[in-house]
Amino acid sequence: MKSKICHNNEVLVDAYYDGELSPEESQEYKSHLEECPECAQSLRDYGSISGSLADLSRELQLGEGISLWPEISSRLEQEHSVRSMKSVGRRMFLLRRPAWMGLAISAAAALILFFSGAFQSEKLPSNFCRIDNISSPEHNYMIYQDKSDGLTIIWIME
Amino acid sequence: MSTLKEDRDLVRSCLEGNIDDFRGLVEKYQQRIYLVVYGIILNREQARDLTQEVFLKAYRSLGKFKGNAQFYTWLYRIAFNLALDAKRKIANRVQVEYDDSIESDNSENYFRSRISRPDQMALRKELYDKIIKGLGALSDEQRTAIVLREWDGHSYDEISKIMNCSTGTVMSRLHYAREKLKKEIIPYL
Repeated sequence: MKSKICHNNEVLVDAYYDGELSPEESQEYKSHLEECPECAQSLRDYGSISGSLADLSRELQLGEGISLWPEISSRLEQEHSVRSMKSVGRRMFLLRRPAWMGLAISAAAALILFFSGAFQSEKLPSNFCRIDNISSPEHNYMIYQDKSDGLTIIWIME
Repeated sequence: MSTLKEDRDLVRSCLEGNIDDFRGLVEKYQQRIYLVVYGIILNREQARDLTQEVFLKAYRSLGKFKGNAQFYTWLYRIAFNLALDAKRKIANRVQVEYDDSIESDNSENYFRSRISRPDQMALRKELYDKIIKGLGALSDEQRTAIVLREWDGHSYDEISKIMNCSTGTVMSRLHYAREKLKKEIIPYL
């Protein structure tokens, strides 16, 4: 027949067994055990279950000297190199993009200026300064840059 | 050096890009994580694979690790969630696969028993079968609680943090788990 202390709170035996009671509660439960054969038997059974589970856990061990690190490390290195490649790819794209865009903007600006007649007088707008000059037997290439926004144009003269 | 500080130092070093320092954490916790994962899914092969996944996920998420929690509590939470997810996926795929996995795990070569006498070995194997069957009959939550307590010695407070529940719930899960295991195992002892 269960006494009041365990009938109202069945989990007390677990808390006592697992050392989760305060010293006072533990002492009280210890006294209870002397008069409650059911709880005392439960405790013995819990001990047997723990022993069996511990035996099983020893059998289930990964094995001495076994390390999961080589497989984990190889997976991490693979992921790391993929990430690095992606990051290099991004940097290359960033480097390429302004050059490509700059060229396109320059070409568009040169066409607009050419058709607007700005260069008909063979005079440059005052905001452009010459930054380089390349000569060949047939042509003279003059490279100008807008001082305000860095816009680059190539002026070809025969 | 305390475990707590040691773990935090290793985590910090990993975050600085020293992958090799993660090795210390893997080798320190692999056995314990493996047993907990096994306790949830009850299949050695899958437990081994999942243990690797736990560490990989932990490494990828190291930046999210808050130093105010213990590293192993955080690691166990990852293990608990991954193992539970895997267990549910397996259960959804084939309802009977669970029993099959226990069968396949219990092959003659499965247990590395140190007992040499065949009759003793047979008895021991029968007992292990009963324990595994008993564990399999528990709910996932009861089984996790008993495994964390019995195989890894966690306190109720730690189990409650890992399983994200109250200590009262932990106590109740442990009680019902033990009562069920009593019925399954005690007659064979």
